[in-house]
Amino acid sequence: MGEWPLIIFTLAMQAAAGVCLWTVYFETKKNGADFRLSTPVALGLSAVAMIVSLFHLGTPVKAINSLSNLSNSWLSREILFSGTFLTLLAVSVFLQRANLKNERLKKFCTYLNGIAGCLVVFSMAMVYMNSIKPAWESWNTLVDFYATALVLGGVILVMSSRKEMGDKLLGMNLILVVVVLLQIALLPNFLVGLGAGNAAAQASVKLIHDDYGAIMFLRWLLVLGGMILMLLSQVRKKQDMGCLYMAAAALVAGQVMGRYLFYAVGVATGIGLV
Amino acid sequence: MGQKGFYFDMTICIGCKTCQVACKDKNELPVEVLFRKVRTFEGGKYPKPWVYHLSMSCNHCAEPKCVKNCPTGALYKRKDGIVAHNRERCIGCQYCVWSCPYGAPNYLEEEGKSGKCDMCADLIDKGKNPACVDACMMRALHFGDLEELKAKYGGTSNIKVLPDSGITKPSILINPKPIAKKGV
Repeated sequence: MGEWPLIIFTLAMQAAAGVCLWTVYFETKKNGADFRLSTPVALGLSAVAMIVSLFHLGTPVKAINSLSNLSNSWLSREILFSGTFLTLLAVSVFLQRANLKNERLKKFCTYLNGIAGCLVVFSMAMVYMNSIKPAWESWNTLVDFYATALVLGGVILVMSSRKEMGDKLLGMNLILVVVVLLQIALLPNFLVGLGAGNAAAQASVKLIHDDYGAIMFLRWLLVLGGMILMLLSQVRKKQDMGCLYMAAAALVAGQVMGRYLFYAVGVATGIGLV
Repeated sequence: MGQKGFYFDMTICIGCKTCQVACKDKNELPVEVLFRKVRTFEGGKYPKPWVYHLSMSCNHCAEPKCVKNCPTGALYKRKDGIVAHNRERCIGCQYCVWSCPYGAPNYLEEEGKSGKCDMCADLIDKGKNPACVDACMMRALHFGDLEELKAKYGGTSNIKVLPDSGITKPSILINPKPIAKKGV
C-alpha cells in the first residue's frame, strides 16, 4: 500500500483543524483559556501536511495546477481550503508573535481558523465520497474524518496546552467520549451497508474480514482504551501525567491504524465488480 | 457535432486481443499499462459452459466523473465528445483513476502522470479510424457518431459485468451474447 503520503496528509491536516475547532470551543466558554501554543502547533501540522501531500503527486512541480477546476472538483477545493487554512494560521501566529493586545482581533482569528479547519475536513471527505469506491463513498467517511479531527486535535491540544486548560479538560473529554461512541455505534450500520452493496463493496467487507479484522479490532481497542485512560487521568485529584501520555499514545496509534485501514479496504467499482 | 462513441459486437469477438496490442503500440505504452483491454469471462459447466470477451477502453462518457474530479483540468471533453487528456497539465494525483468505474485512466509510473485512451484523436482529426478499430480482424469494433451507431447497430451500454450506465453515461454500444445480458 503506497498511500502513506495521503495518510500523513489527511491525519496531520485533520489534527490541525481539530486543534482549531477545540480552540473555538474553549473560546466560547466563560473565562476562555489562552492557548499560546495551539495556533503554532496547528500551523506546524498543516505545513507538514501540505509538504507531505506533494509526495503523493507524480509531478509535484506542477502542483499549482491542482487549483484549476474549483467549479467542479472537490480535490481542487480541498487544496484551496488547505492552502487558505495554512495561510490564516500563519497570519494568526504572526499576530500572536507581534503581541497585539487586540482581543477582538484575536477572537476573530480563532473563529476564522475554526471555520477554515471545518471546511478543510469537509472538502477532504467530499474528495473520497465522490470516488467510485463504495467504502469511501459512504457518509461514514465524513463522520470518520470529523471524529479523527476532534480526537487528534483534542489530544494535541491537551499535550501542548494542558496547563492553560486546567479544569476545563473534563468537558472536552466527555465530548470526545460521545464522538468516539457515536463512531462505534455507526460502524455496524456502515459494514451492513457495504455487505448489501455491489461486488466492490462486498470485496471491501471481505478484506476487512479476511485480512484486516485484527487491525480493526486493535484500532478500536486502542481508541476506547485511550479514551478510558484519558478520563481516568482526570478523575484523580492531581492530573496523572503517565496516564495522560499513555492515553494520547493509544489514541494517536488508533487513529493512524484507522486511516491505514481506510485506504487499505477501498475497492473500486469496476468491470466485473458491479 | 454529435458525441463520438464505440460499438462493440461481442457475438463475433474471438478475444484475439489485436485491438489491445494495436492500442498499446499506437500509444507506446509501458509494460502493464493498457488503454484498451480485452477481458474474458467464462463459467457454467458441461453441457452448458459459456465464455465471452469484452474489449473496452475509455468510454468517453457523456458525464465523465474523471473530467469532473480532475483538479487540474487536464482531462476535458472535446466538442466531438471525446474525453481528451492534456499531459502537460497533469500532476499525477491519480484522482481520475479513483473516479472511473471502467478503469480507463492508468497511472504511468515512469512519467509521473496519468494517461488514457483519447480515441486516437490525432487520427480521427485526419479522417482516419482509431488504431483498435482498424486492427480488429473480426470487424467487431466500430467507432463514429453515437446516434448513428445506435441507428445502424442498436446495442446497449448495460451488460452484466459493467457498472450501471447511469453513473457516467458511457458512449459505448455493445451487442451482447445472451449470457452477458443484464438480468440473465
